[in-house]
Amino acid sequence: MHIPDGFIPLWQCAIYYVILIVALYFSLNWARKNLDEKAVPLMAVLAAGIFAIMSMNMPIPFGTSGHMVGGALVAIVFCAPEAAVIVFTLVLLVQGLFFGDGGITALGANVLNMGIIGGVVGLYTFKGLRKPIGKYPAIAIAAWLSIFLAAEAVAVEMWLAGTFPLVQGLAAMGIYHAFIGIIEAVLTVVVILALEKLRPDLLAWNKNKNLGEQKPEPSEVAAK
Amino acid sequence: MSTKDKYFVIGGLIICLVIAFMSPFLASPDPDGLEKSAEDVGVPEAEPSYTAPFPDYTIEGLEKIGEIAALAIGIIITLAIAYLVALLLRRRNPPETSP
Repeated sequence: MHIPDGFIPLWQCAIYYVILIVALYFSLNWARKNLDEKAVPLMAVLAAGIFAIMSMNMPIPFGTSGHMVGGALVAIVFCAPEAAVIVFTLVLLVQGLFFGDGGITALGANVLNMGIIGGVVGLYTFKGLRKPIGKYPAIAIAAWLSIFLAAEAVAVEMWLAGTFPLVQGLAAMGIYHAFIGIIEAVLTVVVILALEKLRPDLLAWNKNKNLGEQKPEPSEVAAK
Repeated sequence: MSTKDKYFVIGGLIICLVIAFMSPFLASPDPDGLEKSAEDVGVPEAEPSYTAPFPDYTIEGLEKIGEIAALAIGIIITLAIAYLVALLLRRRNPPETSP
């Protein structure tokens, strides 16, 4: 769902850039308070992984294709949509500048859709559903909804830009991304399952749990 | 960086590079959801106003090898930039004791 240059008039692009700058302000503050040393490799690998997986378009019905985006994944892993804003700003900058994927003028709108909307919808849907339906079903639904709503946001932006008619745009984006959301749901669950198995210490929810207990210092662990 | 984190970065990089090797062969060439929606409502393809060095993840004159290389370059650039940015933004340890 990378919006190219030319789909949004420049004055509207400017509004999305303002939203991006405000979101980055909050995200950098979040990082200064919450992004610890251990999260640096995690953020780097997630960014590279999102860059890579976005090249893997999978076929869906109607002669269309789609790939995982990962906004919900980043927000859930860090328990912070701010992390998704940072990761998507970087990934979309690299994609736009080096590979012409997603417009430079549309960067603000693209971060809004994939990072902010994807991250916020993904994280808070997960938080709301985690207790009633369990962790992994909640992750799957959160990831699906993050794609679906981000796509509908694109349709609304395209309507505001005068590029798509509203109803047709909502219908087309909604139908295609309802299928693409299934890819998102499966891969988000797979990645979080893998992290839980291999590096549970990197998941934010496990960190919060540890705060209550006495966490042994690495030196103590080594001494045993 | 701890040994565990080094393995994590190397493991992550290997997975990304495996994807880079596979996707030029496996990825669907069909338009994505937004491109298809644009076709459906009859929006002409926009002329790019800016020419990227590797447009559409290709390197001119090189076929699949170029696509793999472009993706690998992108993965390494993204990993390096995200690592540096996260390192610059991170919480300083020990946390500053502000009153």
